[in-house]
Amino acid sequence: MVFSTLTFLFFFLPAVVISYYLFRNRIYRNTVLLLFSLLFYGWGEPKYILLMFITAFVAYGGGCLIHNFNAQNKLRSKKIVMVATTILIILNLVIFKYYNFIAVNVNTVFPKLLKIYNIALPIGISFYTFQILSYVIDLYWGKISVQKNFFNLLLYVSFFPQLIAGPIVRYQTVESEIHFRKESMDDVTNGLRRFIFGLAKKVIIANNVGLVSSTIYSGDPAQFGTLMYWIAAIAYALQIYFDFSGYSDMAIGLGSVFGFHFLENFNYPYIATSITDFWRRWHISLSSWFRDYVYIPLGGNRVKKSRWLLNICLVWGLTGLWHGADWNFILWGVYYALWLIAEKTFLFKVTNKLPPFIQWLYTSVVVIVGWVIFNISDMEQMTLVLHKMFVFQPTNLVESVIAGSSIIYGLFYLPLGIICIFPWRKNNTASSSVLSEIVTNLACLMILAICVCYTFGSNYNPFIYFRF
Amino acid sequence: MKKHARFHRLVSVIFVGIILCIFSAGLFFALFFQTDVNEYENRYANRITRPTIRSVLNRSFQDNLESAFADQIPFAQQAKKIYNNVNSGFLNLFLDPVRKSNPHSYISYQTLYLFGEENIVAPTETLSNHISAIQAKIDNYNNIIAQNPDIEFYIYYIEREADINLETNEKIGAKEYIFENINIPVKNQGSFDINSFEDFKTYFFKTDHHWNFLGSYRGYLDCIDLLGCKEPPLESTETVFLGKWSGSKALTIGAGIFHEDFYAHHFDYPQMKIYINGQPKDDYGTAEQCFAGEIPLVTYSKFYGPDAGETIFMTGNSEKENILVIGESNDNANIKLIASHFNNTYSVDLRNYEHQMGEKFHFSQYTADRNITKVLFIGNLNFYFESYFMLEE
Repeated sequence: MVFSTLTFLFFFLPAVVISYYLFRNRIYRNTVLLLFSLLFYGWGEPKYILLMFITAFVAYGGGCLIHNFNAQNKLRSKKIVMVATTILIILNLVIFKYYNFIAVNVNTVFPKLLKIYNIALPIGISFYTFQILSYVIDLYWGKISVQKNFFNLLLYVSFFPQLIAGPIVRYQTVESEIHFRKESMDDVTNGLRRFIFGLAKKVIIANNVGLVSSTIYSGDPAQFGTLMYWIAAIAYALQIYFDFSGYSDMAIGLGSVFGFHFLENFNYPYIATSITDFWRRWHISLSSWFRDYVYIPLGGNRVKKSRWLLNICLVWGLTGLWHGADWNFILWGVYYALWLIAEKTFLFKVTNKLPPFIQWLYTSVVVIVGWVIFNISDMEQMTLVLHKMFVFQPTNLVESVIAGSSIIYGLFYLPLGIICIFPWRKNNTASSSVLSEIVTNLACLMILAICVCYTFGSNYNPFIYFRF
Repeated sequence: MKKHARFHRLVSVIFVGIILCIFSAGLFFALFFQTDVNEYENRYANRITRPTIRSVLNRSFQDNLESAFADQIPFAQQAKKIYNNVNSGFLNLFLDPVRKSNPHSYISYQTLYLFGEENIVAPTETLSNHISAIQAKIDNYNNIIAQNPDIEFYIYYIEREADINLETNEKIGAKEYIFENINIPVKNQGSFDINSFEDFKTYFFKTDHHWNFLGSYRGYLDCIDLLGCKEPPLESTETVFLGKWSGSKALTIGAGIFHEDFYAHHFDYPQMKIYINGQPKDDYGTAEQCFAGEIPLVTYSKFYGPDAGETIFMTGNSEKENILVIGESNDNANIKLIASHFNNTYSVDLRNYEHQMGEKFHFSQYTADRNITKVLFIGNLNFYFESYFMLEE
């Protein structure tokens, strides 16, 4: 199920909120959340509930053993269990997400060696796998306590707000809230507001700028010149940001409605003035996951320079691969590795001397080109698009409009999207006046009404992050 | 301070309450006050069905529920209309000069195209895309024809814009393929030809997928000539302007801002009894009421008559023959005219027959029971490749 569907808005959301607040007892409330989370997940792919259940059970069993061995001071056994559990969980991801990619590539070298299976990608497998791994590894490191109740662990894994598109919530973040959270009217109100803003990002901006990029990329390249391909690339950059950050907003907002406080996943990434800065602001839960569970265990930057560079390449190769089982994702990861290495070794010395606007421009261009690599899996098309972007070809605007009139939407939604990438709203944590509360709520209700109109009216509703 | 906190809480409670009420009310009305028709989109409304294990596992229940919510939630149609009008209005604002300066180019507009200054057109089809489905239909009809040697079969093919590239006037050849392969003699074959954009513009609506009053009347004249009717055709007593309207193509792409004039011929039909799906009716469609100004014009099918599974017209002229017309919605506009030349006219729309009549349509049984001597297949390209229109012996 997707948050921006009518089924979610008009059936699931009222049902789960009302059912949840019908009970006062924490156990009952958690039970309501677990049942609704399983329904939410099963809605899209009923069969894969079992897979998630098994994965969570492996982590649960592994966790209990790690805890026991730790208590008995059997550190070697504890390590073996952690490694075995981690391998099993990763293996599950590899089979369902990467097997066919591996098989296709192996078969190009050794024809017909591996059979290709028709495996549907379980929704959200990348997200919940990383969540489960964080539980097992943090438990091994002693950062968290063991969860002895399987259903509580299953609730952590399957909790519907963050289940299918993140943010990747670590067990550490919600460990105490599973048992001791305190819901408040402020949390519910702020959560709903956040949800509405996220929904607006998704259905008003992301879906419509997405029309611009998809129209150009799916059209006849002869009809579009350099300008149009830059517009398409910018449109896709906006689409993926508003799609994903909108989803994260909705997830954080919904978590808040039920008393959970997730960490932020985005911090205005498109105002970044360097690639390093960009990755501190974009998909924070993923980049920090790779930093803490891969980069630092590999030695981080406290190793020889050659090893350090290798670590960066490895981490970013994996980051790319995490996003999808295709070469363009790996290329995208390596692309960022190279830029980050360049910045850390010499580029910073140059860019730091430039005016902030130029720094921002350089970062934006690198990021936008990165999204082209990310978006287009067909290498031939990717090369063509990049060629069109960097080798000037004039654009006949009338011909472009004739070939794909949907690009006209860009005239309205692209500026709107660009305006919304900047932090106009101050974080007002202090208590606000009743009048400003009323105004904010009215604005939210109006935005919600617009979102509902868009949800009814729009037949173009892909959730890009479902692939991952 | 305490008072402020109380107000603050009250404002929050009202906000949360409004949101929950909006969504819960939507669910409540969608569950307990379901409608049958989606007027705005001119089709049956999707209804919420009971889930079964199979429908949940294959996800058809989930898909259906989403479609049903889109049709059943109060104000859903108004919301769609607002959305579509705002979107298409914005698009049109910028597209208008492009259209006017390129009147002979296909201008993409979502899934369809704009052509000329005001026409919404479907893309040109490719025969190879549909050849296997068309051949299956021809085989199906040839089998029926072979099994019913006492019946005289006729075919009338209605070309539309999908049969021709309007920029080059090249035709896809579907009609020729069907006529060559169907076992109906050449003298019993007729067609409504579209050879240029001018033809299309003259005989079809700009915003709807049907032929207009000129096209349907020309089709009627062709058909009675084809069917060998001796008496003169009915002639229009007047041509009436009934108002502006937006047809199905405009609504399909959410471009309700595209309007056009709706004209219709007024005829003095002979007395006839009419039965729709077995029920006696005063008339087929609401044309007379629209002419009298009693009801406003809404849609093509409301004006001319619905795509009923079975419509029977009985003129009481027992010396004349009985005819079965198997077609699609284009014949709604002239079936009553055709019926005036026969004793009993049975018009069957196979898309709806089984659903509305509660039984399958068995050709031989049906024609034998009703003493039918002539059968007319009338339809456009879709009629020949869509599986709905298959016949059963």
